[in-house]
Amino acid sequence: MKWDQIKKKYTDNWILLEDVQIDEDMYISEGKVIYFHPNKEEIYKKLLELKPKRSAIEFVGNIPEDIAVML
Amino acid sequence: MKIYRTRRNGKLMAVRAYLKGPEAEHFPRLLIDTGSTYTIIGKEILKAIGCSLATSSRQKCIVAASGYMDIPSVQVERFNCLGQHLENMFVLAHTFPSSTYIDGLLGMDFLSKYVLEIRPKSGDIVRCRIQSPSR
Repeated sequence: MKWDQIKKKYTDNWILLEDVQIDEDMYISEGKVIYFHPNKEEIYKKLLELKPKRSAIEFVGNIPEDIAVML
Repeated sequence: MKIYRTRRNGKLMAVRAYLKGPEAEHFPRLLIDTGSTYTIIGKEILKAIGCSLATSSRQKCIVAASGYMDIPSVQVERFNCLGQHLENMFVLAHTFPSSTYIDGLLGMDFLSKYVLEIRPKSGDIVRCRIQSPSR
């Protein structure tokens, strides 16, 4: 599935992709969505359960502008 | 010269990287972090690509905002980011809160190897071909 299609179908969800294709700017161009959930912890659980061969995790939606991080 | 457009996480900048482990490959999203000595990857991702944390004999003592932490260090077969790749790179394994929207940190152990211009206003990272002389 192309990224534009994924964006429309899985808005505001975390998605786990396999068979990921990346463009030259390292943006996801396409992949197969094997799981989606609004909570990223659930995506990690599924990642460890399925162990896809070529995967990525992405949030489909807008990241809050006011996110504040201190690591 | 190559310009990479980062994805903004609020005021922060993140890029997609590539990891290859013994069993699988993953493309984590990493925060550009010039304040981190090491590149750090989420534990779940390292486990999923077959890097065992349990058998890791290397630990690094890290000074974080919350105090000192001993963090396992594991070797990935291949690491690629910003058009550069490294073989058998050591990365640290840690858990990141999901609210950070990232899978790890791209630290100075990687960034300092290359001539990169980080442009916080535009969110671009420019990779220059000319390498700086060793110091």
